[in-house]
Amino acid sequence: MTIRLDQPSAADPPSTASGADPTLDAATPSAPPRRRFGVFHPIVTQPGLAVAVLVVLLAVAFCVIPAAFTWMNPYVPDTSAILAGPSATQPFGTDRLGRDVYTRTVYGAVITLTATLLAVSIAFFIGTALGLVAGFVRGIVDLVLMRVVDVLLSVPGLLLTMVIVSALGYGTTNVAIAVGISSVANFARVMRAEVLKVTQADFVEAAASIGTHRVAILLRHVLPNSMSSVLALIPLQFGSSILAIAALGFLGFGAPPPQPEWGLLVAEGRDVLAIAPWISLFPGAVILSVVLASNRISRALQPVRGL
Amino acid sequence: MSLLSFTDVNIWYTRRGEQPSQAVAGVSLAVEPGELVTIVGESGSGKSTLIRSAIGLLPVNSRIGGEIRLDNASVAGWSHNRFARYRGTYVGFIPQDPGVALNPVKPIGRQLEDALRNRLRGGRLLPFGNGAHRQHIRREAFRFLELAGLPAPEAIYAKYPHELSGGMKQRVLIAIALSGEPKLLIADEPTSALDVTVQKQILDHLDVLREELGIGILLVTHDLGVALDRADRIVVMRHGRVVEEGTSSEILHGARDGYTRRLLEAAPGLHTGRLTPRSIDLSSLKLARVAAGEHERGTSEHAIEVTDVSKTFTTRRGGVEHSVKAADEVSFKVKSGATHALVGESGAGKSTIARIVAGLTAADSGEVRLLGQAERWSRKRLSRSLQFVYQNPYSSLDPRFSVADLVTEPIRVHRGDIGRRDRHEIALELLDGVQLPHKYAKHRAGELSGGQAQRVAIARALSLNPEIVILDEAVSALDVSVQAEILQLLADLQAAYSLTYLFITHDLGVVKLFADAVSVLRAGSVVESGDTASVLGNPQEEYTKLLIDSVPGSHLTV
Repeated sequence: MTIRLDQPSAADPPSTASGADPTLDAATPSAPPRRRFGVFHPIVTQPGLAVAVLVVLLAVAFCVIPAAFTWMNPYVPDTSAILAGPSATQPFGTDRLGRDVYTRTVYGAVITLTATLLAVSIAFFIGTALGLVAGFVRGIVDLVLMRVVDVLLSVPGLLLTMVIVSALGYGTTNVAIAVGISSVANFARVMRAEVLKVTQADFVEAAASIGTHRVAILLRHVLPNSMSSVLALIPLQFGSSILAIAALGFLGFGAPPPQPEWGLLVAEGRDVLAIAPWISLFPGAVILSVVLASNRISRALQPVRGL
Repeated sequence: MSLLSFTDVNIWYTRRGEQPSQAVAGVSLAVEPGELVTIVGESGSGKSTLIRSAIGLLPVNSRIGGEIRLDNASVAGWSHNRFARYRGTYVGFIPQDPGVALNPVKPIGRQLEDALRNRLRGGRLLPFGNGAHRQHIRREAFRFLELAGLPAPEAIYAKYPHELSGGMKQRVLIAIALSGEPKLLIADEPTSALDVTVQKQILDHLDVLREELGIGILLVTHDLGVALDRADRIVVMRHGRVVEEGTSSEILHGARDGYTRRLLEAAPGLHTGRLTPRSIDLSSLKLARVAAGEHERGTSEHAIEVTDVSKTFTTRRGGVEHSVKAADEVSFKVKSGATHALVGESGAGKSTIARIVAGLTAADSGEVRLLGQAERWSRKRLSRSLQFVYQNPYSSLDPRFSVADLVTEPIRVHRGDIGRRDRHEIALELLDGVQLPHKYAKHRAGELSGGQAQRVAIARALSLNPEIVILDEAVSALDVSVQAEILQLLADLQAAYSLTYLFITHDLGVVKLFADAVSVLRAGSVVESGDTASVLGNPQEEYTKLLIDSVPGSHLTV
């Protein structure tokens, strides 16, 4: 006997999630239709995420073109407006030298976010590479690398960065490097776990069985398939790096005083918190919102796990 | 009065921002006391959705229209609490996967008692039990374990789910479903994950229960053989609609609907005789042939010779070594251009042997000779002559590659000089070979249906023009009608490419349809080996007889 193939995939289950075939919906009463929002649909269904993306975009814009958001100079003192409260022209008020806090916050984004980017890049590239090698090579290499990672994880993050900054010397770049190194462990861990999972998959074995070189398997099959979780970690790490860098700036490890680094801005208002709370509060609120926003984005990027 | 009736039931799933999709459309169905009704359908036919609606187990994003009557009361708008009064005591539910349906951190007995306590609590004054009550519950638990066909309930009582086999877990689930002394049992593919011999025992047992207790059973299955064997009435569903309804013999001899006839035709257990290959025109595969290179095709009489291969797996748990003999002095020969099937239940070592032949696992001892060559080949050389097709195409195909890249990946590895554009041409030719439309070349494996994805895996295996293809349960996960198409395709390709197949399966029906020779395996050793017709037609060993007898629908003829 033979089996007819003239109607080949008629019995294949429909590949799309919407399931039922179109004629079926037409013939039977269908459920009440829903309103639709066209291109604005994602904004309406996930307003929190939309706000988060907006906040991060704004912060990045501060960083790229600060002059477009303010016409004042962040460094020039103005003796006529010392410790002035928030007003229409100076929404964040002024500090004790009469500099506009809003302008300083905008220019501060350049310093803080550049440092954050550097820190996250260091953590991402070194951490991913370590995790990839450890997970793929296994054996003694895995053992050694992961014990190093364990050591990094066993010291509290801020303490570790302070130790590294003390060793490297003060300055924004060194702070960024220190923060980056101290969060290498997170990326390495997640990457290794993903690589271990992916290397178990049949398609990796299938690639090996046709004689693919090990490095080619690593780069072509393992790396792309294990990136999704690590990519979701980037915004999360971005948020915590901003916090770490601002904290170090606050403690005086980072950029020297005239510079408007975010942590430093908060620190400058510390002494006059009772009479001029806006100097600390507004930059603090900016830090808070950017960190929250990047965490929200990270959650949206997390790969959807099966039920 | 029927135990459960559906009248013109429609069920939709709504999702935020999407059109509601209809899973069930206008289904009417009733189950009478003492009756076994089966719902047959392939994946996505809405059969599970339908039965879950009767006991309020649908997710919150579902909308139900029509009338569902349980115990002569319409369930529309019932709260969870109201449903809870009927679940267990009026309707027993046997879920699909015994592996995940039991709580892994609770002993079996405790899980059964939870269900019992629900029924026996009625009319009691205090919310907690006393000694006598506990004794009573424990006796009842033993009784139901025994009723579900589990010997030595005292031993099972204290065990955890991971200590039991799949069949025993399924029996525990049946015991739990029966513990409320329901009038109606709803079973959602209760035996799909089990070996045929265990499946037969469990279905036999359900039959006995039905006769002894007079309960009605609504059984959902994708296996038409099971339905034809057992059911008083069969309901065939497709795309959420009932396409045919009738008794076994009505369906078997007088199926009116085209889809039912197709299902009957596709059910491997119902057939006698082997698939005949149809010729395929291979002239269109010129480019691919050139790309694969004109390597010498083996001409030896036997493509695969396996001699005394043994393999033992050793695991260490808590300092104690456990060793499992996956292959014990296994020997067989496969003629060039023939299909040899390895059949056995789970744990018989069929996959291990296939992997040893494919060079994916090293044997402890013994020899595998391919195409008459004695020397060991490198991975690259081996893949020229031998390719492996996995059971699950979704895990064996890289989810990030396009179909075109997937099928030509072997060529890319072997022939670095063939450019991207040429490879795309070759990919289209290969897709032609497995009868997959060109439009799928850009899709990813995850976007294809199971049958389409398995076609891609086959195309990929054939890209290097090998002599031997090992099919490890390659059609087992597919719906029957798709399975039949893939088998036919494989038969066609075998004739066209003069391929030798080593075919690993647990399904004797498929073997009958597809294989020239068969080796029956049990616990790592060959029980019986020989011609398919002689082994299946006139089995010498008890175990082979048992296996053949357990195939659902095997005693029926079309």
